Amino acid sequence: MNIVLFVMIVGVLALACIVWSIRGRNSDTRNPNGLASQLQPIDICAFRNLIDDGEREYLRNHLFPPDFRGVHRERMLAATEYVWCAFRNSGILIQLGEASRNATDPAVAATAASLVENATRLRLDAMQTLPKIYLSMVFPGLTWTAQDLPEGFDKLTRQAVILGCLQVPAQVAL
Amino acid sequence: MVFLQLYLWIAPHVLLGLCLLGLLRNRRYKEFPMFFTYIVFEEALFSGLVVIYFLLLRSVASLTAYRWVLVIGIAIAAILQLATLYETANVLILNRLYLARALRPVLKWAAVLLIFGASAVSALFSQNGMQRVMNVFEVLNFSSSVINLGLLVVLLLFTRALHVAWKSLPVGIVLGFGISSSVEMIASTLISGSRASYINIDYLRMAAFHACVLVWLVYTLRPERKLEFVESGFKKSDLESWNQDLQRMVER
Repeated sequence: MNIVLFVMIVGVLALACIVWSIRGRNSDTRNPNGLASQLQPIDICAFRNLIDDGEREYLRNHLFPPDFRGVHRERMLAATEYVWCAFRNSGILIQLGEASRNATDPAVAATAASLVENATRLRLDAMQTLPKIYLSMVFPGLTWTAQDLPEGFDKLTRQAVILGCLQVPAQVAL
Repeated sequence: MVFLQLYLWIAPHVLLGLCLLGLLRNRRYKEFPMFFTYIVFEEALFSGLVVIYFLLLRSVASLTAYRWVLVIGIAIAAILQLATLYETANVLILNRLYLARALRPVLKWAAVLLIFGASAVSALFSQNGMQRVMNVFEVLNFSSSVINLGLLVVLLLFTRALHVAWKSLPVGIVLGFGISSSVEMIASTLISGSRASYINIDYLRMAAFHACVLVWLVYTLRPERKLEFVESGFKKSDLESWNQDLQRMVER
């Protein structure tokens, strides 16, 4: 009885989830002109400092354990803001890159493809990093690394700038 | 009621035929060969079952033979459905090396878990003293529906989280399989729980397959939609402001 009801609810929820995902997919790309303005700046140096193992060890060695836990929690909370920001920005850059993948200019198309690949990679990294940071807030002794994240974002933004530069002359020529 | 039963049995396969013609006309069968094969197989199975049905009416064939052909057909269709889903995932992640590396293990583990889950729940449902052949039919139907539905949800959530762009036809394929699999799953559960008569549940199944085929037909015949701002092009001012935003991002 219970399992029958459970399976039925799962079936209905799964269908609802599929419809919701597909509807979301259609509406995601409808208003792309405002997408670029939604990009938020990230201070990569500050982020790198927050997740630096050396900084954490320094604080651990120079603060009382309760103080260290408080400071560490604050620092990790700040780090999550950066990661969420990178997550959102990479999503925007994926959409901008996808829109330029079919460009007639091969240089634009190649840069867009590369941008999409890297933005996807960064988004996936951010998805994997977030639970680690939250876990680290609860267990300060837990060691984890997200050194690739600032590097990835750095590379990504450079590629986006290149793509933008490549597209401007093409538009002017039109 | 007989008209409704005949309509729900025949109409989806007529529409599937149109879908097949659509795939041939716009040459998309080359992009989705497994989906094409699956439709061809469904049509062949339907033709075979119609022949057996008429032989059954003349008492030349037996009902057991009809059911066994149906069961074997469903087993092959389930394999082709899985192959179609794999093909859809492959089309999505083509040219995206990193995504391919990330998505493959997710789908692999999801499939393993779903197979175990489906086996466990099927074992619970198959203890109701039904005829052996019908039992096999229900277990097969239920297991393939659970696996399909689970993989579809994982694929959709993963690609949505990563903002992967979908073309029209894969969306249609996924939506069609989603409708059909979820109703099949519910129907199998209702039968095992003896909640409703078998005939009524069969109507529900056939109606779901009809809806699924309609979705496939619409998406097969619909021209591919491109992102709107590619068509219209960026304005120079937009690009400049985009560049300014990006420059701001790399400031240190």
